[in-house]
Amino acid sequence: MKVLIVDDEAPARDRLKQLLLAQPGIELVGEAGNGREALELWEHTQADVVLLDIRMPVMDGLETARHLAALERPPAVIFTTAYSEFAVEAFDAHAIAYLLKPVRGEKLAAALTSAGRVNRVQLTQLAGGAAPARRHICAKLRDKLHVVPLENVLCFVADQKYVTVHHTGGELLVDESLKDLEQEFAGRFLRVHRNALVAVNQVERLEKDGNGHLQVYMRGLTEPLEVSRRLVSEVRERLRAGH
Amino acid sequence: MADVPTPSRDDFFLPELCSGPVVIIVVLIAELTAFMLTMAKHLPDEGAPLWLDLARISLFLQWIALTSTGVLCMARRYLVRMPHRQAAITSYVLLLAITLCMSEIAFQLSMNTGAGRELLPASHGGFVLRNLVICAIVSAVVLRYFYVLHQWKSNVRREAGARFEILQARIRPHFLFNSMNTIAALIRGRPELAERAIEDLSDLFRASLSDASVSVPLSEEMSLAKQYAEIETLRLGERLKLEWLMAGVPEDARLPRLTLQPLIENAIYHGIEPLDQGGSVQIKGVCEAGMVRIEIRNPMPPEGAPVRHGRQMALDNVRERLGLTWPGRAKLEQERRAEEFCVRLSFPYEGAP
Repeated sequence: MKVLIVDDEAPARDRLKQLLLAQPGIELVGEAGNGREALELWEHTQADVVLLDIRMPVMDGLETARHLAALERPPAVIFTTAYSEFAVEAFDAHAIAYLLKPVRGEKLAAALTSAGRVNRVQLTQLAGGAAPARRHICAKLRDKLHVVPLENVLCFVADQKYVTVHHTGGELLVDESLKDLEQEFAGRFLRVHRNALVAVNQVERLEKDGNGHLQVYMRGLTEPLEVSRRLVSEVRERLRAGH
Repeated sequence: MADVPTPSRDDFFLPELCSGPVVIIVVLIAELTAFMLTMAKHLPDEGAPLWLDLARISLFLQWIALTSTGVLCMARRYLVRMPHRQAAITSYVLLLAITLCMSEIAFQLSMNTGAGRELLPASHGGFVLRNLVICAIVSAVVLRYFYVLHQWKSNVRREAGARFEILQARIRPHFLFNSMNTIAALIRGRPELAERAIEDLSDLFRASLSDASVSVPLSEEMSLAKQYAEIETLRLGERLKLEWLMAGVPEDARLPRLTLQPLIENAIYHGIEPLDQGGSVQIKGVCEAGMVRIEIRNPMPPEGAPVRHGRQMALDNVRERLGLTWPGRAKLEQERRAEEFCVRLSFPYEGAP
């Protein structure tokens, strides 16, 4: 069984390592200090189980689990936390595996055998009802997993099947609906068209084209996006408020 | 030890009568009584005799009042040992006895020298009896006044003590369990560090369980905060740096226990931990114009990062405890800039008592 340890504190990682060494049939394939590193590392190692601390800088455990759960062959996740500020205890150990720090060897062994995949419903419950918005967009492109911080995302553009994420470093395809994205990132992104959401703080200017259609120009994108006629006043208002 | 309170002395209803403020109150009460007695005797439009009378009555009353104050001041150390009721009766009897003596002396003096004879009533017994009755009433009121004042003060003190207990700085459970986890990790590989961590942790808990209203010298509070930071350094490694710039503050400045530590804990919890690369907490102190000022700065995670709750609670707690210790004279200000958070603490410099 391949295991990945994710925790921002070195002693906490050491402790898990010590305990894993005592378990038979365990191969430690890597250690990460935060969720983003963990996702990148997971891609190379294809670990079966991820031991995931909940409170971490950059990307916390809950968001990491969510990205992991969206993968094609998601690993099993075991949360580790020092204090039950998250509703972990409300979960039956079979529904979602968690370990309280300091972790006990027996509990770790039990969790490794029972750990399963977490789903979005569980994560939402774990976060105390409302799933907090992600701070990253995570998607595969040409068989490579990309993790893009939300600050770098310029806009989401939908075509028939996928949503294209335009970000400062290129493009990604995600298999999510524009409506869900709009809801999740309501404060940061603004709908300008049936098929497009733009990052409010990345808008460069609004300009009318030859036919009188309003166009929105994004920083770093040469091609403008069209603003639907019925959304023009709302877009103008939001952008004025946003600047 | 300065920390040990002396309840038997502080718990007595008569204040330290020889202290300036109390003497002023006594003089004021005597003078008001003199004024009242004069007004009772004369109508204001009678002119000169009123002032003359006031002067003589004042002289007589102040004489009695200050003598009484002196006697009670000296008797206080015996009175303190008595039960309240007995002490009150004894004080009362003392006051009446003094008045009796003074009246007698005044009468005899006046008889023998002839001074102020026109002020004295013809009857010796009537003069003394009248003075005793007036003294009985005024003394009862004054003793009652001191008693109620004392009750009120001790109530305020008790309430402050209770507030203090509620406000007693609590160690975050998160910190406890993370530290335990760190210790568990260190025991095998680096037992000497684990030992240190357990010692530091014990000191911190001992401080957090002890009487929070007790003030400690800054040096003690600083070493506690440093012990706390040491445990956090084990956990956070190179991500945590602390910069102590406290040379400008006298180490004997006193402050309530666990004032500095929660502020540093806040700085680490909200400022350093959420940062991938960590950062530095700066603690800088100066002492000017009798005030100690301590500034604690920490970097802040960028906007949009998930907010950790509970910062305000710790700050309000420290602020309230400072307010109870130095009403109106201590301050705790906070300022959030784009990428920095700053807490400024100022309180009066009080050397070792």
